[in-house]
Amino acid sequence: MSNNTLIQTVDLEKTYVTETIETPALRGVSTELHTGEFTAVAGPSGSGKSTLLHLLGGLDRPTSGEIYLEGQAMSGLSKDQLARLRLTNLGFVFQAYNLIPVLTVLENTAFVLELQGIVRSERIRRARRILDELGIGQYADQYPNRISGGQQQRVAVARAVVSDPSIVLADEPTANLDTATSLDLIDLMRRLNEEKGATFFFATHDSRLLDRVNRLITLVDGAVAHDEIR
Amino acid sequence: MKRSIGVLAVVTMVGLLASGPLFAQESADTALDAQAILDRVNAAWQGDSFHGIMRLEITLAGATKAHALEVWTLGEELALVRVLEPEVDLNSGYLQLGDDLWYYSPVVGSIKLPAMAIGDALFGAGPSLADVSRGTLSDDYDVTVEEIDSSTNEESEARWFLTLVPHLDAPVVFGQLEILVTADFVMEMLIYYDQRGEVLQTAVFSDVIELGERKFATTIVIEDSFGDRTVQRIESPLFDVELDASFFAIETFESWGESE
Amino acid sequence: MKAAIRHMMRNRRRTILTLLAVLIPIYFLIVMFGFINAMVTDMFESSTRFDTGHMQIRAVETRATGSAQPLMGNPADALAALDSMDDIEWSTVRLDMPALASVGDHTRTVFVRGVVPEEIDPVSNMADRIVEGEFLTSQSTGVIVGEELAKLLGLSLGDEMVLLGAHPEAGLGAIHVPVLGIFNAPEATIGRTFVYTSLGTARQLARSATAATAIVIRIDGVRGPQDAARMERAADELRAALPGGYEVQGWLELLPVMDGYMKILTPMLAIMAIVFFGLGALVVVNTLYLSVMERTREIGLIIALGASRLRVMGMVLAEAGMITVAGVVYGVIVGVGIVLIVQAFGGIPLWGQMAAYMREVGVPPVLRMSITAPQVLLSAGAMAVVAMLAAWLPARRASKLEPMEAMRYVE
Repeated sequence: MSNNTLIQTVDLEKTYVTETIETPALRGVSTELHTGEFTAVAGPSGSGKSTLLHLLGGLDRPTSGEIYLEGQAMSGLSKDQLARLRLTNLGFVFQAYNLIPVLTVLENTAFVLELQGIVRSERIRRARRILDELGIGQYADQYPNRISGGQQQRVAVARAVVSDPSIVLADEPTANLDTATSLDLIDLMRRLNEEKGATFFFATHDSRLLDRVNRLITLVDGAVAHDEIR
Repeated sequence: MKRSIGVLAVVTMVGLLASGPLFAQESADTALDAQAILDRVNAAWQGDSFHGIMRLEITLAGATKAHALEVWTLGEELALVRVLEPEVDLNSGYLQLGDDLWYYSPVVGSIKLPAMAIGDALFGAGPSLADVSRGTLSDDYDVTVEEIDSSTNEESEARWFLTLVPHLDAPVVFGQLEILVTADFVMEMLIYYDQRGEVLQTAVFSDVIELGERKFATTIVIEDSFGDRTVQRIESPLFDVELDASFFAIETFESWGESE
Repeated sequence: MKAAIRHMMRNRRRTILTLLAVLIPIYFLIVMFGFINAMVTDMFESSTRFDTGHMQIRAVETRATGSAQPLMGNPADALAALDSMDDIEWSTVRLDMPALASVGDHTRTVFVRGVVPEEIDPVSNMADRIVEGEFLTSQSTGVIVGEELAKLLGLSLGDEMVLLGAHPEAGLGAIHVPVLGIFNAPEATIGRTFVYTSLGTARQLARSATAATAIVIRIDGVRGPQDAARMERAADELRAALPGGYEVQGWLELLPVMDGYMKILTPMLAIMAIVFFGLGALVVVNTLYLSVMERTREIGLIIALGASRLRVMGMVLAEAGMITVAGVVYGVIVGVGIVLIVQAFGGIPLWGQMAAYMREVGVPPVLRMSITAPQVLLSAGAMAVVAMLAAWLPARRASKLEPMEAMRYVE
């Protein structure tokens, strides 16, 4: 593991078990993610990319194998410890339903900071700043149901980066957006990556996004088929 | 109004109509059964009528009061009790005519008492009117007897030990009676038990006199489980005296009041 | 907190329902306490007023005396002990004994009550119940009898009757007494049995210048059964001061019927409270569960973002807590408000049979209410605890959600 390795997976496997059926989603995935990368994991439906992202985010547990986040093994951690890890080290952008409906845009953005225990004045300041940077400062006092899907995703990104996480994990962030909006969002995230060094990891099959990443991991049937630096 | 036990069942005066002959008092060695012994004991008080003075010393709750009564009975139905002492109660008393009962006081005149008062102690303790006018040892009991070897007991002259168990339907409050009887058919001691077998009271008889063919105790000391005590002495007893039924009337009380 | 408030505002109906689920049991219990307190106090007043007092000094019963109370030969030493106590509001000496009342050939068993007429006002409304003639004075040598007894013995005002004392421990006293008054009794048995006379006259009947059967006592500051501790203290103090041969009987001993009532009151209230609280709790659980389910995705998101389980539970409990506090406050306001309003109006007037009955037993025919602070606190506190316990289950469930599953949840 080099100095700038953020996440390392070793022989990661995940099998989903229902009453009678076992569905392997990941088979023996070993890889590393580094600081400053703008990486996507792609593959056909059912290839395991969302599964991988969830495992990296501590939102699910592997059947076997190990994940190291900034050198810390995740397998021995309790749910609360994983939650703590997510809170302090990770940022998330989900495909949909990213925002808490009863909080304003500003409050949503500041939410993670609130969970982290940062004082109100500070978190409001930081939230406003990132919203302005992302060009949605004027929506600060609106509720999520008053802004468009694209704007909601921008807010999600703002929330994901406001706490300066080690890495932002984004699960199909553009899936519900039209082309123009998608491109806008992608450019936004790229800017953050280039100007602020924010590390992004996407699970996606959106070609518009895949064109813009500088590393692409391809999964086929739960295993790494390609891992290409662009 | 009741002392639950004011009874001196066998004691004192009597009134069974002489239903049978007076037995000659013998110290018999012939084998007598229990009932026969009891009958001989009862016989001491049988008579058509009676007149006598009864002195009572009643100790109740630690305080002792003395009463003197003059008693007349005729048969089982008529009785008149005149209070002689204490002086404040002089010439008050009770009159029984069959089931009717009156109390008389010179101050207030006569008051009819409810029928059940016949069983109540006349003075809060001691005998009730029923005791005074009627003997109650009778057909209500089954009797058994044991012979006692009196030579082993210097204090007692008892020859027989009678156990009386009331019939199931008998109107009797006791569970059992035990009587010590001398060879002369005189009661020496009478012990009353309640339904649970606890001693209610004990009567001890002494000062036996002979009146003609009768022998009976003139002093009876009764002690009960509360520590109360009645000493009863009979003076100048006379049996089968001539009495008229008309004597037993309120007017008799009134006449005493007038004459004093 | 903010989110919780906004959630509540968004689902106003459900919030109000939950609020009511907390409010109603509290208000109900306060109102029940209110009625029962007043009822018990009224019963206490009327029964202690009729003849018991708050307690009585009596002679220890050493032998069976049947229906007669044991006689105190001379209660001077008991009265001296009483004088040594500070918190006696009032006391009086009384002599009760069975007797025979005789008029001509009619004789009846009666119960003679010898009182100090000028003193018994706190424990008897007999003076108010006289329908013919007049009530007694200490100088009276006559009696007052009930209408029923007068009828049975054929007595009219001014007639004389003979009384024969029948106390097993007393001498046999016999006296002539004139009928000075006739009273209307609250119950026919009282009217047939009780003969009131002055203490002096009763003592003549008992042939004792000093005898008594009870010293009836009222204690300072006692308003009802809630002052039981005060009465008990006074009784203990009195027992310590009394010489041997006496005992102190409290009002419950003297009124076993009331004792019976009192004993069922608490369990009865407890059962009612349990039923209402239980129902309230069910509603709270239900509405909170619904609330949690509606917010499954949101909760999933929050967990995904890094909120700990405790935090998630705290969120749900905070919402429940706010509703509970509001419910408690309003419940108390409504409940206590009703009590105060009823109090201000002097009670809810009753009518018909109920009113007639209450007048008969000497109680004004109104339904009154009174409440104590501890009872309010108990009602509010108990329901608050129940509501928060009820919230526990949904809160726990929320905290155990798996974030990804939750976020995928479709209603």
